[in-house]
Amino acid sequence: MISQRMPKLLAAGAIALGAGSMGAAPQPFTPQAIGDAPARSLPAPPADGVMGFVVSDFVQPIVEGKDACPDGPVPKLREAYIASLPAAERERLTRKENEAELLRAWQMTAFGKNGTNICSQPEMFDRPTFRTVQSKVAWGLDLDEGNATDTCAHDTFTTPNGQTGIDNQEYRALGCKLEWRTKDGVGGDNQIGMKQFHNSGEWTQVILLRGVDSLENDPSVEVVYANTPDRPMIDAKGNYLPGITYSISTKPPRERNVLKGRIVGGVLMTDPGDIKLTQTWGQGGARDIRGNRARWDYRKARLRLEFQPDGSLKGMMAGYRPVADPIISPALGGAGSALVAGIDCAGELATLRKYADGLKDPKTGKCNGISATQRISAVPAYINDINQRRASR
Amino acid sequence: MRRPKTLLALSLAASAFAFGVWTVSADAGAPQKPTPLATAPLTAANGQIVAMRRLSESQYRSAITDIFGPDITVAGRFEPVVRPVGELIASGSSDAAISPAGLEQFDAMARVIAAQTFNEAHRSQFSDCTPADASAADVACASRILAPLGRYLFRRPLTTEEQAFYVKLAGSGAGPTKSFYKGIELALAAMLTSPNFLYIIETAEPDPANPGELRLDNYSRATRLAMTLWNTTPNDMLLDAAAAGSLTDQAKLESIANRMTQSPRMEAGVRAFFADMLKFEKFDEMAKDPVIYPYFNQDVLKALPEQMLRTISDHLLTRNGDYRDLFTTRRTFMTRALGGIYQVRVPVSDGWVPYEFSPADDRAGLLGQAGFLALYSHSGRSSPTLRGRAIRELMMCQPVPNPPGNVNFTAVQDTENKAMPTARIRLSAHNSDPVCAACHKITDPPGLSLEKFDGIGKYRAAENGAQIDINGALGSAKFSGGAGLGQAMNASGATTQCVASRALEYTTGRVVSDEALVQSTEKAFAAKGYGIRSLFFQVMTSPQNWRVPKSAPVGATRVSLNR
Amino acid sequence: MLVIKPGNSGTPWETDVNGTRLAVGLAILGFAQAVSAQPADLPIAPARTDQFPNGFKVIRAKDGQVYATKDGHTLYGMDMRTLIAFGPDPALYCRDECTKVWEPMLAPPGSKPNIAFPRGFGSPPPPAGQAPRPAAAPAASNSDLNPDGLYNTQRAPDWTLIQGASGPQWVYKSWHLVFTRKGDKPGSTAHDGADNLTWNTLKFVPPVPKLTAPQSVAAAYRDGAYILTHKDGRALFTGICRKDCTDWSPLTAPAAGRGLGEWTVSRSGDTPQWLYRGKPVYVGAALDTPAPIPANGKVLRP
Repeated sequence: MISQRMPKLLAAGAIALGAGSMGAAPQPFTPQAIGDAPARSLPAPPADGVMGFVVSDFVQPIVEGKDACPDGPVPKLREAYIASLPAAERERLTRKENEAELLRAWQMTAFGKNGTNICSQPEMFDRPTFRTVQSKVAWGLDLDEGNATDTCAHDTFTTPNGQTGIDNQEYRALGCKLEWRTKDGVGGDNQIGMKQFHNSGEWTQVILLRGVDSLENDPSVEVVYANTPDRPMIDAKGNYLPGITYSISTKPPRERNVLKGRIVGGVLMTDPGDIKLTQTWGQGGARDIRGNRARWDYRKARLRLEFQPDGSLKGMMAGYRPVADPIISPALGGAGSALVAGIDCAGELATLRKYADGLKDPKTGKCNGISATQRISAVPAYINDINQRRASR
Repeated sequence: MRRPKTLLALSLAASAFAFGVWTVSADAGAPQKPTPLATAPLTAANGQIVAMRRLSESQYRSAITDIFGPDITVAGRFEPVVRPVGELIASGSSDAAISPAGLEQFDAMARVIAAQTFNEAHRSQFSDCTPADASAADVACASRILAPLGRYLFRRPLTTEEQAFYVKLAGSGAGPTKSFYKGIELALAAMLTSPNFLYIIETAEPDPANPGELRLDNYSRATRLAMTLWNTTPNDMLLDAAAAGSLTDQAKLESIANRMTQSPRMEAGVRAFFADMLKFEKFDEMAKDPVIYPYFNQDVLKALPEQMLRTISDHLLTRNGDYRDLFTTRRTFMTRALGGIYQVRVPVSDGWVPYEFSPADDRAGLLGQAGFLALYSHSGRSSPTLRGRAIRELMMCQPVPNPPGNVNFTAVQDTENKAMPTARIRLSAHNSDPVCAACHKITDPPGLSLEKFDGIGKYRAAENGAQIDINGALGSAKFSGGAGLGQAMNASGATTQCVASRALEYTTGRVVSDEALVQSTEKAFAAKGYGIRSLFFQVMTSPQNWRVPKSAPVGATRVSLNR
Repeated sequence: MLVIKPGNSGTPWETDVNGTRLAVGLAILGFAQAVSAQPADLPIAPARTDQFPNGFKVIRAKDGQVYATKDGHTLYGMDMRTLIAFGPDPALYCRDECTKVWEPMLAPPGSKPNIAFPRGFGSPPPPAGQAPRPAAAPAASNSDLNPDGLYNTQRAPDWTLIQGASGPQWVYKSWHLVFTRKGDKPGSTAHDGADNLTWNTLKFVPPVPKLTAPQSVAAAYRDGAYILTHKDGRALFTGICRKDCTDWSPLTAPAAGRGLGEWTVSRSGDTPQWLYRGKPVYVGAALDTPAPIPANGKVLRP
């Protein structure tokens, strides 16, 4: 069923924000962090209307709690194999003395004919789809705004602070994975790992706003959302330091997205457009082919960013990812991803396909994209854009 | 005042199979032990030794790069030369011994340099002969290789005895290793641990203009010119000029000094001079509390002295600027790391770019740069006193006594005390003790004008929420803030006199107590618009500065190398 | 039967490389910006030798030199690494629809494959109760061959043979299965980068010249030819500076150096300086900057 509703925006200032973004990190993710309208008393923008930011947080947000995945997290290959056995066989194989047999048996599920494996050739394996998020609450944006022409049937979520019509099928499909959510229902390795990657400078992102006349309301703002090869500068507590310069360059990682946006009630929202970002891999980078592993490709994507009184930004990016993108990294990892990390790439791809809701191929009627959301925080920074740098030389 | 004369006792592991001990004494009649078995003449090749100064680390590195090329790496730890109180390290080098541990380091560095120089990739560059048998000694070829190297390393031609000694050493090495080049390596390593290389040995000759007195001889002049003006070993031009006796010819000396002060290589000399004058060795031990100063990191630390040196070099050399304007210029250079401290946009990700502060930044000259402000602060707080003392001592050559041992610092250290939110208030409380107040009256008034810059030199509008009073004074001059301080420094005659006396001290390796000499040097400096090139030209060409003070000759130096 | 063995420098190799003579007369100044739009695994590295199979040659195409057939059809490499999802052996990818548009460059009749797409970490575990099959003795780290007698992909020569869908087929640089595009005009490179950079023209970059030069000197390929550079990436140049010489930093030589090949040491200046073929050598800015050398400087070529 295709949703047909408009988002309900909370009245500005209905929920007071907590402290600014510069407290001790990492902070547990709370609904207030990205969902609220900003507190009042926003500062005036600079006279030239140019504002720069460095992104300090970029991760798939989850709504914590056990109700999202009442049956527990998605089992890994080993656990999935054990669960598939008749009770007696399950009891026998999980005995200590049969450990070697169990190991071989579940690992065999990662291999197919002629040397194929479940991660390098996921399309050649027929695996069951994953357990998915059962709750109705998720972060994200209403991407289709009721436009059914190029989407496929899907359910929607409501945000923790009450916005409805939220499209985030990636969360629905993968939000019960252990990497997303531990068995206790709190953030998993994704939350920590993404932060570490970000802090290491492997994929620093910057946001440059031009033509900002007011942080409260401005009908036209240019937004440059780009990568920079410059490392972030971080204090001893992991906070990004404001006032550092970052240069958007032609060297990898080099993505530079130019978007149009407007500010309403202290919230900057961009028009739908394609957003590509890239990640520079350090360890393991040699396995990457054509930069695919490092790709963050969001179609018909939007930024929703809220100006904070301390000068920072908090918000989200949401859009449709090509449906196989979330498994590129384990696919390049090949059999090792399955044997070492227990990743069921074929099951994951099948689940993503099942819940794909966007980028519909008009010929086949099949959706090749899945709605997805990243949480974003950003602190003030000096940004050198490509043209500015050339001009200054 | 003369200091105790040099006494060195160096243990030298000259090779895996030859262990040598040599002792050097500048004191005539000093005990010589053990009894020499084989003797290599240390020096006195050209006359009487009148001074010995240890090479600085940067001079050592420059010499190796100049002689053997930039791809020969120098790896090791250098024993620091101790700075005498109130003086330059250049003066300390005149008294610097080398400890056994320090010599071990020099020995290890020498072996690494020698091994690189004569490895397969490099040896052909440093030999113009091929040994008759690469697995055996070859006296003729060894001589052809070692004699030119000795000339560069000892900064004069080897004596016949020295050459014979090193050739023999190469032969001794070639035998057991069955390698001609291993023998050459051994001889080169021995040269590199010789006091003739590690020390600038100044020798003198009778001064025809002043009968009965001495003047530095030609090779000593070549070395002094090179080390002072370019911070490196003399090149062929200087060694050839010394061989021709040109450096005791006033007209030729002036011509060479003029060429050298106009050369791009002068930058290295000016950097080394100011790094010494401004005590940049203190950056090596600078530490800041990362919780209080999150913007301070290793990249910033590395950039702080470099920013000051770039400013100095740009102003004094590139722009031929007036030395006094070093205290007022707003021009400097910036890196991305420093951009955080200054909270400015930097147009490049890597490297340095020119930058000019705006008048509103209140950063004037060297004293407004984070390097100075951070160096003369504590790890967790700024210090008007340390800044003021540095201004007085380093920039104006006005010594400030150390505080007495029993001072109670509680008031100034208590930065959390809400009743005393600013450094000025805390110092005021501290100075209720008249013993303290006497010195603080000298140091604090200039230092307090910089209080809007915190302990790493970052701007702050307030301290503990309290407004900061940046009124200051320097002698009779009253002013506000960093720009006012810069103007007062610019107008103070003490700064130019100070740098003139430091230039004399830096060149000669001893504090110049002759006030008339300082004044005449300063006068010549003033006459040329306070240009740094003209100051050093004056110092290097004044005949008086080549004369050996009557107290200087240090008697016969004996050297023995026991094997 | 023809088997290409390591080190075989006779037939079917050809030593006449027109390309090495094409690389002259191009722009001296204003080096093209480094190609940064390519992922890390492109562009293809310089050729290891100036020898390549009979039947191929080097031609000048729109964006530089490329390998081509004798009749001038550009050679394309199908990058097997991008096709792993197709199956464990992407060398077998091109059949049916693919062969309608791409013509495989098959090996001479009777040739045997001497390289294979690596299987990597992909073997299923051994049956229960059996010890893992002992791994074949690993190839010596400096060996060009794997224990199976096939080339190690990291150390293979430029041109090898792989079992493709249509038989033994040429491979360039271990990964690029060689094809031409059916129906293309000679010299066309229209399909370069097709299918998300799976198909790429085989660009010819001549072998890096062996230099007898100071350690600080390297060579870089710019505008169709090699030039001499500082090994840190800065340009080297020569010329005569008459004024404003701050950008003319001498390439410093060791004072004690006696020279090397065509390089000699000048000691007449303040700094010992390298001369190349008798001309003073200076160091400019990084090659990827807009003006790596002064206007009246001249680049140096090996």
